[in-house]
Amino acid sequence: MPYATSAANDPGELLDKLRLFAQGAGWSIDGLRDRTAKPGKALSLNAAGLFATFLTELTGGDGNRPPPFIGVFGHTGYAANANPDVQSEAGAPAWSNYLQGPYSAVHFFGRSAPRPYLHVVLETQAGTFKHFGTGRLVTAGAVNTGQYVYGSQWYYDARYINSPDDYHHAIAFDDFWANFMSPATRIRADFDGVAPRWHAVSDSPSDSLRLLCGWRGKTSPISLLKDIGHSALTGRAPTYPLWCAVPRGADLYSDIGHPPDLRFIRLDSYAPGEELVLGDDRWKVFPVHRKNGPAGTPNSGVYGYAYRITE
Amino acid sequence: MWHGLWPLTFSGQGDYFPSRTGLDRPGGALGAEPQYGRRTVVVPQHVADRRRGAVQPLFGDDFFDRIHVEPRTLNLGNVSTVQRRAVRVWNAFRSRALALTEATLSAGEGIVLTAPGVPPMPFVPLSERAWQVAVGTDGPPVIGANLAFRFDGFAEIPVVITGQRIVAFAFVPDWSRGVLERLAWRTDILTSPLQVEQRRGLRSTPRRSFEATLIVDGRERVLLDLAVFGWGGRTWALPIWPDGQWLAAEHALGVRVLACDPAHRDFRSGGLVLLRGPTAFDTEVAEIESIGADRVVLRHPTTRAWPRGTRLYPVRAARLAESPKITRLSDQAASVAVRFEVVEPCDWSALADAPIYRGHPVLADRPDESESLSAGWQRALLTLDNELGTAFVLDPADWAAVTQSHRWRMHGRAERARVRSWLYALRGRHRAVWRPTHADDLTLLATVAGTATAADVANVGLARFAGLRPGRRDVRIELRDGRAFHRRITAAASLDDATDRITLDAALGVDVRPRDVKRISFLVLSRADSDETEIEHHTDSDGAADSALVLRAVRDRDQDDGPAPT
Repeated sequence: MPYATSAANDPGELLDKLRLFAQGAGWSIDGLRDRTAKPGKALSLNAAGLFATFLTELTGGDGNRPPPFIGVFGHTGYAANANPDVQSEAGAPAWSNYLQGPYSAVHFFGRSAPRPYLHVVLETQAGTFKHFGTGRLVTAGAVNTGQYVYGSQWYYDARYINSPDDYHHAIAFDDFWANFMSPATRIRADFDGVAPRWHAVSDSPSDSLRLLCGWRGKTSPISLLKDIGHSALTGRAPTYPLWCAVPRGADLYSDIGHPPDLRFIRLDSYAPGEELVLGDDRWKVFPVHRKNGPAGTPNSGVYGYAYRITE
Repeated sequence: MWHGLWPLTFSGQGDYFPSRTGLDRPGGALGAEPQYGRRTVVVPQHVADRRRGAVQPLFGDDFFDRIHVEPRTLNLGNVSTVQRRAVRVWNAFRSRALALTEATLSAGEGIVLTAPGVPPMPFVPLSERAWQVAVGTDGPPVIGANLAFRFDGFAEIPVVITGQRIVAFAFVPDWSRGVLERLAWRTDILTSPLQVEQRRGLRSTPRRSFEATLIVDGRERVLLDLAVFGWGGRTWALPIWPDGQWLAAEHALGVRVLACDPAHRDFRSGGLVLLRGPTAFDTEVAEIESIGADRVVLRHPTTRAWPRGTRLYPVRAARLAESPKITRLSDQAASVAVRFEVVEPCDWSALADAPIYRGHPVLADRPDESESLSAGWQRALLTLDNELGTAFVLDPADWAAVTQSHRWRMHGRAERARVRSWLYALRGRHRAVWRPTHADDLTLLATVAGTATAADVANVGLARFAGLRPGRRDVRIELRDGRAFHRRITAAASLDDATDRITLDAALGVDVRPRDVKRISFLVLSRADSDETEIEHHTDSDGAADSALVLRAVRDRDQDDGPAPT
């Protein structure tokens, strides 16, 4: 079951539906339990040696990053201990904020081979989307694991709510971000004999565990391409793989790969949820947050993600 | 540093290095180019530098190294004229020649396939060929064909062709008898002994049928005879006769824009139009792509020129409900009575501007009283009669459902559209609306202040008989200046033989003198008494039409009402 759509009333029900979908997509479920640290639930699962835990957190945050939250973190193995948040070699969670239900729609994308991934697109209200998930990169070079976790944290301050290029927002696979919220993308890339080595997007150039990816920053890998819209002739827009790179010292960066079946796309000529057919491929496109909304509402311009529906 | 390298990682976006042909131009990064003569290009050190690295994919991989067949489904919709479409096959491999072993059309009766060659056919890298698919009107009514491409070493690539063949019914009605349109909903009603109803609409859109009489003569008579004889059981493209119009301008062959007035007519995007010349032989059916204020844009260009005065109709797919009845007038002419049932759902826009009172629209339109309107009381009495003594009669509801007929006379398209919206709002017997009696029921005797909730009216027995029960407790107060108030009477007391004092649930907000009042009518929450409604089109939609229905009171809860009525 590589793609499914559904609806859910709250984060807890969403995790339960994710559990059912992941099982159909070839993932094994380790447990769906209540959290002991905070009010919420934790869903642990694994596929092809990749372990991840999805967490809900119903309280906390503030007016600019309101609850409820859903986070996801990667780990190795599964320990059925009292606290589901405690797992071996765990990275920090990548959070998504303001996931208030009931949701208009939920879109699940997932598979377990050749590279496992679970991508979730949540339509919290009609036209407003949140993205989160985990998986293994299509790796480049001598990188081990390549597990990524991502979320979407929009910054709901009235001054920035409708500025898609503002660095207050932490959005998936984009490193143009400053420390107003926790990083929304983390990747485990073990190499040079260091393990575990979790990289996260960072606002410090001297950070040795910095992750470079995305399109909004001037140094970002697809920053130039994000300004190229659709073809004036056909109305079609190309999709770009979300390249990720990490520092290797001496101001050198190495490409470590890109997430499978997930791309960046400009939505100038596409509607949210529209299906885009390229030969045998079917891609579903969604805005990063909300496509060109009215003033005062969240607005992520024409930036969007494309998810491949694999048969 | 590395972002300076990214153009190298393109796949399928051309080559960074200049070729030796000298026809291409190096980019600005490589320095100025001499205008003629021998060319020297200084390759920057970092480009010539050989480094190890991984190939970065880009969108080139979405397009190249695969076979594209577009489109994969051809949904032709209603085929009423020959439809021509192209299916393109592109070998997007950059360095691999393919061989097409077969391109077969199955279940393709009535479809003409024009291939660019005969298989086996070589496809050199990056070559594209187009197959032309022409679907004619002759053939089985339902089109379900499959065009399959087979390449050596690949799975079969199918193209599904679907559609439905329909044929235009291009005869025009004899307007001396008019055209009768019937809208039929279906409602399931459960009634309690207390006359409270539970109603369920069983059809989301009404069944719609048209009755008309045609006069055909000469070749047209034989055409009608043969068409009904041959294809009488099929679906026809039925012109909606009352919504016809004449084209006011010349339209050349091959235009996609028809200048016309589509307002309040039955045109819809994705639907069909019929163009009809002087005879039933000069017709064309075309598909609508979009509708503007003064135009209809067609999906495909017209196949012939249409002069000024051509008739233009919106079209619905319809089937003959019964065999047409032919009356022979002479050996040349015949009069034919036909009845069509539309086989597609017909939507209509909802009421836009009706006033809303307690959650239901108010039927404020005055009825047409050129013919007298009937009214009555339906009382559900239970009778036990053993035929020995007097019968025992019980009135469990202690309430009468008042009925009253309402008649509309419509002039022009805007009024027709409005009445049609009312009929769709009523949905047969399903929905309730507030119907004023449109009669002079209560007479105001003294001025009512804007802040007052009590009013003195002429004594008509309201306090004695009506008992503030549903049907006789809501009033519509119409003023001479056009304003209207809807209020509920919460109490009524008889002051003397001439005067009743009523209490309204809310003040009117303006001072009302008796001479300002045009009419005070009772408001009755009512539904239609029948699921079927007829619209008699006396002329086309620029002229007059009639429609009538009987409205019957119901004991539905209205908004702000307390518990269900007892």
